[in-house]
Amino acid sequence: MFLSKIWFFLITIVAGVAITIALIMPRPAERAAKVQEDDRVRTACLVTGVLLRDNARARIQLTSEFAQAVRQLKLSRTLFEASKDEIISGQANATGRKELTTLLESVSGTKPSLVWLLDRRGRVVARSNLDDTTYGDSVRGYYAVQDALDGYVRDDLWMMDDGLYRVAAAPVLTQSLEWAGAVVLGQAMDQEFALSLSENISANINFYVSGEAVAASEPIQIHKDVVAGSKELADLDEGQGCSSGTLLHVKAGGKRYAVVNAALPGEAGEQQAFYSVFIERAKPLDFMGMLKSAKKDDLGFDRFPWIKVIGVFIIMMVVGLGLTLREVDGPLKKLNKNAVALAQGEAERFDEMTHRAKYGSIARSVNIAIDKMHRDAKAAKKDLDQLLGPAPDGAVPRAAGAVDAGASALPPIGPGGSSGAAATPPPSEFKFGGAAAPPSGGLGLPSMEPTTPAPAMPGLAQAQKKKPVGTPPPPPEKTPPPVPVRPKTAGGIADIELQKPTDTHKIPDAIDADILGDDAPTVADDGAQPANYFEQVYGEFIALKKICGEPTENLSFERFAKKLRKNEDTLIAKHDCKSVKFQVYEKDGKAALKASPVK
Amino acid sequence: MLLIRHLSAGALALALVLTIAPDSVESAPNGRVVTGTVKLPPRAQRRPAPQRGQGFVPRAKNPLRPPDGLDPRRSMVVFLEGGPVDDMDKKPQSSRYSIVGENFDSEILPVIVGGKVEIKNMGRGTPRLYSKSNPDVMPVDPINPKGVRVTEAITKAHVPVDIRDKDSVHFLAHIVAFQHGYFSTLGHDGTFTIKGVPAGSWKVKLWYQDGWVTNIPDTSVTIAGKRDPKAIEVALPAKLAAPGEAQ
Repeated sequence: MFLSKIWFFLITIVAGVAITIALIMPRPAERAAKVQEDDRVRTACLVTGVLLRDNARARIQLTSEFAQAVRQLKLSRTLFEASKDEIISGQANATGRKELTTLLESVSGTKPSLVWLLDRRGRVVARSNLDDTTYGDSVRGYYAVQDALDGYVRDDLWMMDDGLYRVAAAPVLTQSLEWAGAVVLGQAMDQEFALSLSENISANINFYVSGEAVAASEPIQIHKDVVAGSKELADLDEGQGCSSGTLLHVKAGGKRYAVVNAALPGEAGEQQAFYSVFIERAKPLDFMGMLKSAKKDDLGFDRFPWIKVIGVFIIMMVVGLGLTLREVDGPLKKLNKNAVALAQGEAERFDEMTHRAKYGSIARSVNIAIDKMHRDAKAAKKDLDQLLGPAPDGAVPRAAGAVDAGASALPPIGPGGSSGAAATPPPSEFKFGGAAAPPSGGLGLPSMEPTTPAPAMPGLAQAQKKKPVGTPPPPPEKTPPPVPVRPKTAGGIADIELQKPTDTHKIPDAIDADILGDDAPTVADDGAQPANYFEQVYGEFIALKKICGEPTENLSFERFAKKLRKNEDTLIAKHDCKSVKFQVYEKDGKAALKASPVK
Repeated sequence: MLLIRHLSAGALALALVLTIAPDSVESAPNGRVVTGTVKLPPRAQRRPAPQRGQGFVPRAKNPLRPPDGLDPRRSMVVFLEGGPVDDMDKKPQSSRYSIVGENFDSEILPVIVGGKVEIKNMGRGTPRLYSKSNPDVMPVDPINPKGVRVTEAITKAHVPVDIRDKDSVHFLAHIVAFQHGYFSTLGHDGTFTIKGVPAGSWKVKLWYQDGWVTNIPDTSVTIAGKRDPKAIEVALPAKLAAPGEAQ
């Protein structure tokens, strides 16, 4: 059992480890998925920055080309002349608008949201596409306008009344390369632009200025959390938001999003403008979630190590069955076989040496039980001795094959105990004999060889020939059998001895008939002897004691009958007989009793 | 509607005419007029114009013509120091400072110590002006188009008061108080005119946004008789630092 237990322990550990792994595995997988999502959203953010820069370069290029086109037209001269005047004239504005409209028609693709023509002082000469009827106001304050008037080309982000604009400004020169003014082109950063970016980066994007959302690719209400998480942008270096900014995890509409913020440049950037790129997060994985997400292909032979799994399963099963067979089934079969032999009388007790471990313990326990039964029987005999008094030595020799109920010659208890030689029982032993006695090997007890031959009883051989075993004893003869002189005892019943044949194992029924006579009381239907039968036996017993010169004062009928009834019950229980016949006879000069089971 | 817009544009232009002229105060009637020009150093010696803010990509020079470099004259005040000051010219006067769009009509406004400034919104927006250096100089509330806001008296001489807009990053101007009214801002070409200067010897000083320009040659003007002095020229040093930059 030891190896089986070890194996079971190992299997349990393996199963525990497997379950633990199965429960733990979703977490690393979820972490890996989270890392991938984080990388993805950060990459999308970085790509957004690249796209915005490319877009700015394209816008600067367009503005430069636009300024060059203005230079080629009379419009540059209009700007140059307007710069000299203290006010922008209506004529300059009209000329500017007309030329501007012509220029815009030549622009292919998306038209600019706003176009401003400025004189050297930064005053608006003409507007197109946005608020195009007003002019004369100064926009020199804008950084991009100042730079353009100073001779630079640049881009910027402006937060104007109606939204966020990507703008670019370029100086306008006359044909003679005099500073004439500047041109500003702007494009709204609106939902259309956000959608366009979103498609390119495979993520959603929102734009914020001063804590307010100004454009969004999707109407997902994550603005509050996003704006709250954008505070750190002020502490980050420019352009570090995508890579170093905290990745936010926000919830909206029952979905989770991974969000990263990045600051926007320009004037709008100084007004806390930023954009946020976000993607929807995968649902958290647990064990059941992983099982549900598994696909049929995952169990294919090309992906799942079926051969290894089946091989390991077979090995574990074979080892387990082998250990069970070796340590459980085999010893149990052997013990069963030994028990069957014990039941069939082929063995007297378990051979403890052939059984190991628990089975050896079972064998020893059974052997101990057998030994205990023998000791109980012996104790019962001693009680009878105390009642009847010790029998004289050699009164009734033990018959061959007789069973000593109080066998004191049982093998010692315990494994390996050798059965000692059967001690010679005392003369007063209560003995059974004949066919009613259990087979000597029935309980695994060793056969008790008689130490002295049983005396031949008168008429025994004849009675055995006349009557079969188990038939009621014949009525006793009128004349009592010869009674040998027996030394006196302290009083009471000297002995009750089971009648034993001298040359056979049969009970000598003839003796019963001789002793009890034909008028012996019949046995009741329930097997119990009638009271007058005990009185009869008592009378015969007292009479014989008197003949033998033994005292009878201390032997009352009640005590005598009680003892007989007890022994009768014991014999009936043990031999499953119908009744017990008691026979009075003289043994070594003393009155004695014999008990014969009646089937 | 179109007529109204044109009229409003005309009104704006008229306001610009009135406000773009160099600032100077009414001085003593018997004084003389000091004129002059602040000249820039040669283009090659100028510092590049400071870049304020940056878009997605750095600014680039115009390929057709190199930039002229820094022109600080828009933020300068010519101040005369040393001569006898008429008491009348020390009296605080109210000055007007006009918003003409995305900024004031000039980048700096000189006033006499104790004078107040009336800010008039000639633009289309509704700026919320405030001062970081002197928060109590005016209430922070929107000024509607054509609206007026009067500041508290500017009491400290030579301590510039910045004026900003809560809703616009680029909106920045300075008000500087001087002890008397013999000062003038510069035109876009660097010219200036100071009227009512009493007779005497005056040293020409230049205030550049938030401090004196120290590394210019000593320039003085002497006023005597009834004739105005000859126009003076003040040459700005090369590599003049932009406001906020170390010189």
